[in-house]
Amino acid sequence: MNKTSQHFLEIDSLSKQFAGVDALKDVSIDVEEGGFLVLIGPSGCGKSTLLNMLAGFEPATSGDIRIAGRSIADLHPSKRDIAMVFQSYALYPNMTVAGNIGFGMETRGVPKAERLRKIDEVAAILQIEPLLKRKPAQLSGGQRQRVAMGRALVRDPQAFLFDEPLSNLDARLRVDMRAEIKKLHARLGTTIVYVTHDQIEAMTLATKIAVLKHGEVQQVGTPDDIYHRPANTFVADFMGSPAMNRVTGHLQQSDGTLKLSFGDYSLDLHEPSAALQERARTQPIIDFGIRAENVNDSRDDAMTSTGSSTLPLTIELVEPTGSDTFIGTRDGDAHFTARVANYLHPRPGERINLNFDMSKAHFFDTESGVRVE
Amino acid sequence: MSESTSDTMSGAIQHSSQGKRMTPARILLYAVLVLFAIYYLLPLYVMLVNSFKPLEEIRGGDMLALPQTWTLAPWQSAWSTAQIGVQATGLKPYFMNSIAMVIPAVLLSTILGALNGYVLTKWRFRGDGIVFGLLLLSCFIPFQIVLIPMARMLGILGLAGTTSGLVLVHLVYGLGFTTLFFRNYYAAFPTELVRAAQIDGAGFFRIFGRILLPSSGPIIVVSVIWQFTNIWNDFLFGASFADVDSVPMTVALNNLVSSSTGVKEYNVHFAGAVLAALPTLVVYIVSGRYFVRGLMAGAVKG
Repeated sequence: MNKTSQHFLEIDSLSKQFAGVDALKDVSIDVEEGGFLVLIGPSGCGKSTLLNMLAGFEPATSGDIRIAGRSIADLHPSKRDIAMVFQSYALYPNMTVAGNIGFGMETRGVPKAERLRKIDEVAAILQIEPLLKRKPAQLSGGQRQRVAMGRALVRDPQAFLFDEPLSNLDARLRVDMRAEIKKLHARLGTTIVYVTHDQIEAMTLATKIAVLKHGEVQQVGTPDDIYHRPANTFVADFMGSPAMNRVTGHLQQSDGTLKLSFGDYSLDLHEPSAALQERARTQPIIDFGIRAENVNDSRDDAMTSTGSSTLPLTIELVEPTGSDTFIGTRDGDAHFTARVANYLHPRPGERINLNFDMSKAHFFDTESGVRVE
Repeated sequence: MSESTSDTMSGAIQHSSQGKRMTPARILLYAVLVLFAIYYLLPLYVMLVNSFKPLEEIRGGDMLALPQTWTLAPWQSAWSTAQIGVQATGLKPYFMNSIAMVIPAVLLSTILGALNGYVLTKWRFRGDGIVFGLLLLSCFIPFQIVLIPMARMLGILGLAGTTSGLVLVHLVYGLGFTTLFFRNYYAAFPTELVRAAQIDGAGFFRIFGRILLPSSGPIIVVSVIWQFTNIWNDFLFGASFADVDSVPMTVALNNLVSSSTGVKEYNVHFAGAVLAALPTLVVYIVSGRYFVRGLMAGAVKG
């Protein structure tokens, strides 16, 4: 069945219109077998719509979905060989945990003995054996989450769909369950499509991230790609916390060095790409971006690299997070967040020399927001 | 029931905060409540008391007095020997007519209303809002308007004068209300549950029977009470469409009370009226507390 493509789950130019409004526009994403695709974007970006279309709850206006080369776009949800974990868990309130996990097998007419065996198997994996006789109302949030995953696991599907599964848990439990999902994925090796608006979840879990906005794919790539080489200003701003520092500047050659200037400041670019040099001649106005971890206190030797350039700035805000301290600076238009070592004890109002690691700088076209490199 | 709970609650609060229970305002409040309770219960008292008296005692004058000689004869007469219309059958056969009408009518209208509500919320289709609006409209059509067309329809269907015909009429009239109840109840029912069941391979009726119905207890009680009371108490349709062997209790009671031959047997009439009211009373007492709970369930989040 597997045609020429080596992709397992293929979303092929999928579009969806609700009453003439585009919810999804020509979305194409491929996932390899055993991959972990995270769909991320702000609310209303179409990520949940896309997941519902994968599950079969929403018909596509045009386009196709294939699993292992077989089109599933016209199949009923139960025939797609997928399993879904819902945001609300969607446990059947009148059935026990065992009943919830076994309901799918019951409708498919699996004999009772085999049903019980499989329920026990899954319960063992998720460590929910003591809960099997309880009703969902008697479970905590984390336990419900496990049961919901159990109901998906027991199907042994070709792909799992997760719809913001951790958003109803408290912060601590969310981190635990995130790790469990990652371990489970490593253990089962089943392809997963996972919707979230939490970029930490996306970065930690995904083998592939698709960033969506207004129903359009902004970028598809590995977590590294998305974080270190964002395709446009939207992705750059959306991924990463604190948000990437961005300022509009002016590229110019002076004394054989390419400089980026903004306001009263200027930064040296030590090894500029050909595209940037070309840009300096033709269209010197450009958006410059740099992440907080690439802006450091110059006193912090460990963080100072050869390609850096220094600016004196005044500290406006200090935010200690324990391991690191983030400082906000503002001098006129020059507004930056920097990550500094906490032992340096920065104070508001203090004048500080900040090192900008320009080898990690990002440049975007001012008009279109598209990455320049 | 709610009166006593609110009493103990506020009493406890008063007790802890002020240490004294009875303020003048509170005494006034209770006085008014007791007065209203008496006002409401007085007719029931008169009916019950006089239904146990021999007729001479009632004629003697004092309607409020307890019986001097207790007798069950009026009840026996009302139930099995009183003259109704031309026959001396008592209310018994008509009571059975009503039962034969009310049970299928209540069950069918509740089941169909539940299915309607399920389809209108979980299997949305183009124009579903209009369909629901039209169903709702049927709640507002006065009975009298449809009497003649309905009689014609029953004639065409060959159901004129039968209990089945009355069941059909009450089913059609009840459907708007039961659909409204279940639609509003199921609107708050999480759609994700239906989707999960779909992935689990459950079809239309299995999802309904296994997922929605088990969670519908309160609204089923609301629907049953509502339909039972309305259909049992209906007089107009019974008087218009029933024939000799399908006349319901309400119409028979009227015939009993308004028969003009001989003396007015008030004690028998009272007993008959209580008999006619008894089934609805039982339904309320058995499931009354679910009624309030169920009505609230749609309004607040379920």
